[in-house]
Amino acid sequence: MSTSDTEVPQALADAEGARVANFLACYGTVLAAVAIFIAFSLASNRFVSAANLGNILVQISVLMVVSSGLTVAVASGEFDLSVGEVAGLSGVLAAGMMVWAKLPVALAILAPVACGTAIGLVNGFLVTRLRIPSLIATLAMGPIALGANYAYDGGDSIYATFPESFYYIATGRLFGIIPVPIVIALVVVAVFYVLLNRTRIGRAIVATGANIQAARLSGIAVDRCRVLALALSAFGAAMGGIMLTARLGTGQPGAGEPYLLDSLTAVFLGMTAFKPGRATVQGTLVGVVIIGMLDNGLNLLGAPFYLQNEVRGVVMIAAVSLAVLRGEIRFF
Amino acid sequence: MENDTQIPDFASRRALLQGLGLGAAALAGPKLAQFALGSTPARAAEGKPVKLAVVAQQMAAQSDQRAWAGFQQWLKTTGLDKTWQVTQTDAKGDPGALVSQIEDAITAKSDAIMVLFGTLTAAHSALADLERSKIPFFSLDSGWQAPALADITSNNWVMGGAFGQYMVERLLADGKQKANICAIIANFHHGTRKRGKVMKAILGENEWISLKAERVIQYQGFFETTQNAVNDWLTRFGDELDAIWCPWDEPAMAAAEVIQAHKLEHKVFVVGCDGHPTALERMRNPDYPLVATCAQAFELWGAYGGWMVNEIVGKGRSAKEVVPVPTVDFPAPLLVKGVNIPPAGKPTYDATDLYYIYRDRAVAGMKG
Amino acid sequence: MAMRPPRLSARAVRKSFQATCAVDGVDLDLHAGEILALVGANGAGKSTLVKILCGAIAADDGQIAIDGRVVAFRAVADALAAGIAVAHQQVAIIPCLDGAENIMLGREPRRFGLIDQAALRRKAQALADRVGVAIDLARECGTLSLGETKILDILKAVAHDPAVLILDEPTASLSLAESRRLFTFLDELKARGLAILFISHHLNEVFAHCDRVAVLKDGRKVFDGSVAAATPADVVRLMVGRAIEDTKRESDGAAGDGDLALSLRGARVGRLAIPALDIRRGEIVGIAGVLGAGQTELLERLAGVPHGASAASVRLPGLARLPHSVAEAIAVGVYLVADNRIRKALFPGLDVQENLASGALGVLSRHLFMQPGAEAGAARDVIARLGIKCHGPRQDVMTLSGGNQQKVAFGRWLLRMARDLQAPPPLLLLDNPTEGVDVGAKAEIYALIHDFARKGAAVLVASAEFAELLALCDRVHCIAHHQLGAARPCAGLTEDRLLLEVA
Repeated sequence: MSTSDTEVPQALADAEGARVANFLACYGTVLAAVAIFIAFSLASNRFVSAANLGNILVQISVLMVVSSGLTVAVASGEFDLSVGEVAGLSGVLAAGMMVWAKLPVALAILAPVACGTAIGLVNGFLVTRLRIPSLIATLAMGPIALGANYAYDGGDSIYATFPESFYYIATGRLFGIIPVPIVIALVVVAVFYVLLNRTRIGRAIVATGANIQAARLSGIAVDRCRVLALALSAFGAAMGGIMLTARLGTGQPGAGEPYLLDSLTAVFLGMTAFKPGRATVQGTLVGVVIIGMLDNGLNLLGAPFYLQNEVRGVVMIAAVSLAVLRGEIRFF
Repeated sequence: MENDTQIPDFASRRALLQGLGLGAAALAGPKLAQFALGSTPARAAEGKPVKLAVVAQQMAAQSDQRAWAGFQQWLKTTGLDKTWQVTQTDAKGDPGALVSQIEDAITAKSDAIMVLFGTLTAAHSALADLERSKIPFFSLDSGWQAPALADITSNNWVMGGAFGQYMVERLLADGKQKANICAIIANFHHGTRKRGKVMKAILGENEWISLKAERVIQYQGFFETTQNAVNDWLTRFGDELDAIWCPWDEPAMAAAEVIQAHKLEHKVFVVGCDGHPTALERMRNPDYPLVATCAQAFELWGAYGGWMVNEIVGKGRSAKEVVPVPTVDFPAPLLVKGVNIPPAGKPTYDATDLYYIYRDRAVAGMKG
Repeated sequence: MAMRPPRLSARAVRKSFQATCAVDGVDLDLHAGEILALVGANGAGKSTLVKILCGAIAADDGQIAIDGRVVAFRAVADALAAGIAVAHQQVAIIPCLDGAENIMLGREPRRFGLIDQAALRRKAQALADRVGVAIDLARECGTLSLGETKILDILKAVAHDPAVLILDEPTASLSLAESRRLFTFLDELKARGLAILFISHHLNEVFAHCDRVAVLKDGRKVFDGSVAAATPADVVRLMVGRAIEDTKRESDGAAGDGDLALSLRGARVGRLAIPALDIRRGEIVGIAGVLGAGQTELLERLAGVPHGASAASVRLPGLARLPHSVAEAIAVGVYLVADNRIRKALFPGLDVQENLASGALGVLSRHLFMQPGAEAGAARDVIARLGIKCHGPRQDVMTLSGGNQQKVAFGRWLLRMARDLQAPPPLLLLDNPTEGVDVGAKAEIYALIHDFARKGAAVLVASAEFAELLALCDRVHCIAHHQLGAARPCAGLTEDRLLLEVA
């Protein structure tokens, strides 16, 4: 073949291009996180300091917990649009139980977490038994949780001083150095990571999310997987809500709401990393870190407040466009 | 059927309100220059340049806009805008974001931090960090909490008493033996919450007034929620209703619009609070249902906040001396439709309170 | 006699994707009133060539001419305007619209800016009448049979009044009877002077209905001539580069002597009645039926999917009733390789290893935790044993070719049988096991199934491709009139006989 001489280098270049595209698709979002880190480090001399990095991690700890839970739901192929309201409800419940019911701190933490998880179980029941699509079931559960929230606190914040041990969740330091919220967040992330990647039920959840019909025909109890995933999602949201109450020092009825869009953003950003199109805990972690760095870095630079929204949107578009370099990806 | 025409376009209305508010703030500018709180430009420049972080809870709100405009006006007039480094962030109503933004301001090693209209009781972690950082911390209408050096506000008990009692007097003036009112309740802000408590206390002394219904609102979507609630009340109670009590002027305007749409403006009146420029503009129309408000001096708060930062941080004066008590209450004159609404273009913060009109008449009489 | 230029002619068309040259200098002529078959193994370049001809992708090199005029397509719309219409393998019929609406989709006649329903129906009906289609165009397409939707899909392409019609595997999802009906329709189109390019895996229909056949291998044209000038065996040799040994099952005598793996009496699954069905270990039993005759439901019910069913007597190893769940069926050794692997058997986005492990999560885990070493080892074994072509166990399963995907679908159960030491002897249920698989891979899958049976597995195969059943099975049941007929030995049966049975 006479043309092969000229074709081979071209082919090699193409193969190289494919490798680069594949690499960018899998690690583009991680690279974006690194690029954001470097850019802020150069732009602000305060960004890379132990104090500020700790600061960022504390700030994203609640989001990390909520998003990790949501990741499990998305990995199982279900949406959970009730995470924000569940976080808000569990936050005011914890506050009310300490302030009004004078319950011990441990009980005031456990009861709202149990309540949040129960809401997740109800979501699971609606999805698997009544066959309501999770998008709708959880969208409906959101206002129900918000209504319970207002019914409990009358739409008012619950102000009072909590027992000192409760504030430990937000402001305590393990061994006097490591902020407790970071420790909690990392433990939750680790547990959810192991769950999705190393356990049988986690694999079953991922398989259900990838193809529910094939999972069913493989003998996987898909309904149990979906219920569990939605319960874990609500569990994460409830945990996050309690951490938020400790951080704010009051039960704020509306404090949970922003966490829905933030955690969806984090999960979607995460779906562009490592395994494009798949919700993974490690990917979500990258998404949360990007959100945290953007908010903090732009604040440090004294950027106009609207730039945070602009930059977040641009980063999301950029991340997805890198992830689709390898070919179209199916988010849902 | 009619409902459709009664609900105005919320978004465009908000934009309009903001535009008018900013316009009023700009008109007020020259006044602020004279005010300048004894800091002539020359004297102000004596201090060292300050790196100030301003954290707003909700820049979309009128109060934040007006206070920020007042602060900037002060900064410009004193000439400190040339030396100070001022950054501003917006928590967009999210208490968690407010905490994060205060923490970021601490990390950025600001010389001073000023929070606009936050809820400090819901910023526990940030307060702990502020305490540790020793950065001078000021707040506007955020409910004083340690370690804030000062919280600038109005005395909400006094304001609540002023427009609440005016409502009672107005009902008496209308010859009512029995009266029915409804109330919009907002508990998310310390000021609106206190005004609501005062209103309940006043009703406790006036048992001939019955509170037929109340609606607790949240900040999010308050305008529309108020419209819908008032619409339902007017449908339910019709002209048996005599007044609607609102915690501040924006829901009061929402209520007034619905009353006008029901053509009940001569039957049902509204009282509000804040002295919102747009509200005052409308109150110059004799048929407008909103009859009384208290004019809070948001622009002055912003300017006074700047002055305090400059005195304490810029010039190094003792905080105790500059701020003897941690809550700095500014006067908020009671303004009544057709009596003492200042003319268009005149700022509200130096309007004369209704009761001061009485006083001035008496004083003038005594002096002959 | 003046030689008329071909309707469509391609010269030295070439297209590369990254490292691979998908189409490598192909010449092709297509004349009015002929059906040219384009055949080749998966990956031979058929799809790429079709995409170039219809303007979906641009060739790197070469030229295309219509009626002797050189054309350049920048988009599908250009090719359509030039007279090239395509009916893709996936039916582009919207189920909730009726036939007429589907045919005129995107070109609805309008009156005062609104769709003119009367004109739309008139035009669609005129078109159907012209080519002799007797489908009720007012019926919602979701209620039509697969074959009828396919014909409508082609009619939709014909509605553009093209000079050249390209059909990409139109019979892939059709039963034999439906295919025959489709060919009658194509003959009608041919008689009207259309030039048809016909892409297919089924050589028998190529030789029965096409005028010429062109064979692609590795992006090059290796044969182009009248069907009279070649035999199916020649074409297969050209396609795969080697002769495929006759895959006809040799009855080794052992089959049929094993223990009963399944015995069903007086059963009913959905609308299908099953008077008697017996399968012994080492035996391969086939079910012949048109698509949708109930064989899929029967297989799925046996595998534990809760379709409505009843049975007078059931004998499965260790179970005297139909399994209540898929998990229970698997526990007694009943494994289903479902039809439509993309929808029912594979996990898109998961890698080959995760797909292979999906049927054996319990076997590959201890105390609730997956054993990564065991999983990787088992996956490697299966990949090697089945010869699954992939870069490694971590490749996304959707990037494999159809044949390799099907091997993964098989491999899931192979892995389980290999790893689960307590696994009972298996009963394999195979539903259309070689759907969309090229000739070479098909032979490998047949060999695999034979191997299973030789090692003592009982196998039940349902297929719409009767040649496949004859090649695979010892005995075959036919479904006719909602009833599973009695089993008959395959020896001596022909495709035509089976076709008559199920008609």
